[in-house]
Amino acid sequence: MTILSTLYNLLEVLIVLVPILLAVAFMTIIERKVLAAMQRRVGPNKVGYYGVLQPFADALKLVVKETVVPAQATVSLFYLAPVITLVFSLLGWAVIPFGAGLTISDFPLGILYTLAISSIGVYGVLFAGWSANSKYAFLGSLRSTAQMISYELVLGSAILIVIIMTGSFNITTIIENQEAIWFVVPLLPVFIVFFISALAETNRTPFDLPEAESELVAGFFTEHSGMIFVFFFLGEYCSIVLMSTLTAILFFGGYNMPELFINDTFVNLQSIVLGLKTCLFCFLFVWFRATLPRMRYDGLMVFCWTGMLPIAIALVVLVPSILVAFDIIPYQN
Amino acid sequence: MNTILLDVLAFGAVLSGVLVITSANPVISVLFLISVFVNAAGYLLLLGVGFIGISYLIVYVGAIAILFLFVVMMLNISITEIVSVGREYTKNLPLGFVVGTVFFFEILSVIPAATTEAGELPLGLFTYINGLLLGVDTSLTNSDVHMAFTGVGADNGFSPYLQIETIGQGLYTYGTVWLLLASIILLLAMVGPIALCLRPRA
Repeated sequence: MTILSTLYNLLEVLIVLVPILLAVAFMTIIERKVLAAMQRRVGPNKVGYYGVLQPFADALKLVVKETVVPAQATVSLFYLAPVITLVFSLLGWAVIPFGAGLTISDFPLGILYTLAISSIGVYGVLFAGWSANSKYAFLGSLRSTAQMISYELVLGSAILIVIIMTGSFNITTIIENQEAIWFVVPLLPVFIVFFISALAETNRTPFDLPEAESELVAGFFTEHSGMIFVFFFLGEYCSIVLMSTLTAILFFGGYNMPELFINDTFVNLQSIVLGLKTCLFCFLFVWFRATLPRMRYDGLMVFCWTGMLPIAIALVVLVPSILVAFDIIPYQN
Repeated sequence: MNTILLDVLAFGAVLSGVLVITSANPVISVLFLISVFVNAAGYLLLLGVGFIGISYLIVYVGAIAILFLFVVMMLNISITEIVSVGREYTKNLPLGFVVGTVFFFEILSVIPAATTEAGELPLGLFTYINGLLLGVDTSLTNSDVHMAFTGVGADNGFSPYLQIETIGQGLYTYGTVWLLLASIILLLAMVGPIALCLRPRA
């Protein structure tokens, strides 16, 4: 009995994990195709129709490459770092609902769990830089870590406002509270703050300082090659997709949509709606990369601590004040 | 199954705690410190104290340990130096034992009195002031403090209470004094280093 239920649980996890990894693979081809279109190039178009199968060709190339480990490296941490990055960005999916009740765990503290997991993910970056025993990797990882833990505060404050609006840490409850109106309408400034810090949290342009190619070779994964580089690569794109999904869930109603027609087929439209919303934000991530130049590092930190954080704290004070002043706290018991 | 897991986690926490002070490389010892935190968080989660377990992960693992690691990684200390200093300190082990025992005895003899009796008086004061501000009758005794404000106690309400709500109920009513005390200590801890580091401009 217990073995059967364990197998069932494993199957559940696989059913979530395999499509996530496929989505991550296609995220890389989205990035390359959209960038190409915005720079008026063709982009990859040889493997599969319109180059759709390019990510698998890339993966194959990277897997068969030789893995070079620096002689002075701390080998255990050198291998552990990419694993931490990938595993913790995949663990974040455990509490994401893909439809009403379609979640691995309907954890009452789901959103806190997501925050905790994303803050542990920083260790992958930190270990990678330190264990490689290379100055470029080390500087890259210090930059990246400082950036990630600074913007985590802003991200947490933005999420806190959504929690104040719903009175729950449970992601399903947060989504169901948006049936009347998506939170992006009353909380537009919070959404902007959240998305900017999400860009910084995933180390994307204009905040991709850790991999500033012109100064630091490739940032914290300079010394990683072959298979362990694939882990970093997957982890990075996985956290992009996760952040897009979280944006869709927290501000765009998750799997909610206006009921235009009655769906009595076996196809679950809710998951498709969530997927479409996620794709929108994945596209936004790439759009920002194509549009904005990279910031300077001191500018990035000053922007966080003197620009974003005061705004976020002001919003944390303002939103509950409005709720109390107009006596519209939505969850008084 | 869960009890075995609890044992494993407890053992892991203690083992990593020992390894923190025995490993020579400071970075490795911070790694074991992180392992202690993660094990403790897992232990709390399995016990069903989910909120405190996850706060452990967010506060200690996600912020404090990262700052530790950050500083330790940037310090360039030679390991032999640390080991020699460590040898010097090992000589003082009996002294440490004596001081530790005395400290433990003091804590044990002071704490129970502090939590039962001394906490009541200021709590009554806070209840009185809150009653004046909110216009609530506080003629109830101190122990019924949150009956006066919410009407439902965290532990005898029939509506489902989330863990955080229960903690909040306890913290903002019975624990008011301790909460204020802790916040003042934290404020001092924040302002203190700034005041110490600040050099007046010539």
